Amino acid sequence: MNTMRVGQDLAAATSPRGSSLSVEDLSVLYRVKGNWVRAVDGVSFSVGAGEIVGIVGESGSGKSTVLRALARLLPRDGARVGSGRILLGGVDLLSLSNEEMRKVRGARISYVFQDPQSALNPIYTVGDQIAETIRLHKKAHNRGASEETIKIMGRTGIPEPERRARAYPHELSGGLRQRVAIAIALAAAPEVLLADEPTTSVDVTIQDQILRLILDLRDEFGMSVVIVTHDIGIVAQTCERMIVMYCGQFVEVGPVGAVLTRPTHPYTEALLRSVPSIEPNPERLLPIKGSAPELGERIVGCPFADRCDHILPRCRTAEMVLEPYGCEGQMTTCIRHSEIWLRQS
Amino acid sequence: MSRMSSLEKAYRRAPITLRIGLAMLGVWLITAVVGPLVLRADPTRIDIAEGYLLPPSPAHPFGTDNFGRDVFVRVVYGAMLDLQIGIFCAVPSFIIGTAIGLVAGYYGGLLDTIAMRLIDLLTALPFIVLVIAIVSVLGPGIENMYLAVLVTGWISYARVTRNTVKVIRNLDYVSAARVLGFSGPRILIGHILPNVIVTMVVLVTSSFVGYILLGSALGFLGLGVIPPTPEWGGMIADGRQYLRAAPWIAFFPGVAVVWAGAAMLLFGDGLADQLRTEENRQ
Repeated sequence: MNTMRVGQDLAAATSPRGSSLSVEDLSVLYRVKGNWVRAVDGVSFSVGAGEIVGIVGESGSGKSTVLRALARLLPRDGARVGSGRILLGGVDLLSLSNEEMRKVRGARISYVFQDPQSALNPIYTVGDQIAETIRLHKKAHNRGASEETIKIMGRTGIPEPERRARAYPHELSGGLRQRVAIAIALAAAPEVLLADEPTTSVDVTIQDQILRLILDLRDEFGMSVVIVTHDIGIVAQTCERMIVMYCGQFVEVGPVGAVLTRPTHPYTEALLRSVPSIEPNPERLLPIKGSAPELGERIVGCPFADRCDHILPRCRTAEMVLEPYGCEGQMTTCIRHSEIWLRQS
Repeated sequence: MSRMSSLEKAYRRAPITLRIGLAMLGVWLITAVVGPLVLRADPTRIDIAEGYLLPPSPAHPFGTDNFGRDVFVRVVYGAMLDLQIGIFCAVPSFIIGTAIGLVAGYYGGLLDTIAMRLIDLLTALPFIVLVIAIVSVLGPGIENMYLAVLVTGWISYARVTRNTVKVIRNLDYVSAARVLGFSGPRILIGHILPNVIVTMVVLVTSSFVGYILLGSALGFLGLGVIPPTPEWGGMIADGRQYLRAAPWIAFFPGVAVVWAGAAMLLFGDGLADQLRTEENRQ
């Protein structure tokens, strides 16, 4: 299989409105006990301008690794990009020097971390941390930067921004801290915002506020957003397209509505079944049986084969390729997608 | 809120050890700076004829030594010298060690390997033996002592800094700074150093006393401060042979060393407590 060609086709096929960020055949390897193992296995996708894409999967599926690779934030020792291109405005980020990449970061790509407690430097006030980023990228002077800081804090929904700007991270609640982290990420008005489980560390009401905030800011700034999460509810609430990731591979890609109502991959179906619902008389919550293959285990055929109810012998030999399903841009790697009947939610 | 009032607040909240340590350091510092100006005496003035081995009296509050030198005057003049020894031994090692540790810990790779192997090599040799060897080669004298301490003293700071940086380097706020486009040196100095420095300051205060004792030990061996310069360690060494006949010769410089050591240790301990409670509040 010519992965390069498939990658390009995919990137083109999956971008509804002119792509802002596109990833082609990205592989990431981790060193485990001296061996390089594949954590992300030749994935391709693109994000249109102003689009919100969600990547879901269980822990260890490689979803955060993809995100870190996009920002070139992989650990310096013990991880490397094996292949692929990450195109932002036609430029391959992987080919940039550290110095060139530095100019892209913050200004064109920004990142929101899972835990705002550790993503904020404990020894500076939050206002200083926001202003520092503004000064770096906009070359604003001190006064301009602090005015801008108050403005951006106000826009991320922080009440009394003048007072809060003088607070240290530990003096703020989790929700406010995440708003500050988002304010820092937005300080230089990036084209792409990468969010790694941005609401995992806050409670549900705050989660809702933060997600709404990201949506509002997307509308206001017209930026593209990639959200990584294990929570399908978050994807349903915020994203336009979703990617289901398993064992370092994309197993299903498509518009959120289509994928959630008509999953074409047994793993997606299993994920949906394992989410609690508030509907009356819910079925028993069904966990996915077995566990995902270990990182570094050699996988031939479908990685989900061992846990799948619909397995056939050829599932263990077939090459996994994302194939189109339906006419809404949904794609799946399941070779039996047209034969099996998956529960529709 | 003004800067002054927040300082006051910090002092009121400070642990008792920190306050006592600061007060004792203050006494030491004032003695060192003001003492010589007030006394205007010559700490090396010898009075062999009738003034030697005199017990403490109003004329000589701490008595006189075997050369008839006033022990009180010598202890007061020694305050500045021992303060200097502490500072000139601890501060350069601290600066160089921290810098090496920062760079090695943050950038890793070959630089880190070289620094760590060098540290292993120097650690394998006993510190005091190494210092004695270096001073013997360079010749006795206080400047050579500083140099010898610097050659070997940076390693403890470098190792602690390096290991702390290795942990902090992988924290999200450093990744956040990187992903926002800050340069390596800027992250290192602006974001990592301030988080390391508190540990290092506590380490400095605790090694400060060690350096004063080292200065005394080298003085005792005739490698550090050259007599008749008044230095507490040297004075204790001189007074040793008169311990029964004239104990005051060694006793008062001994009290001074204990005072200085206790001041620094309490200060360091209190500072650690203070910073720890601040961390807990976060």
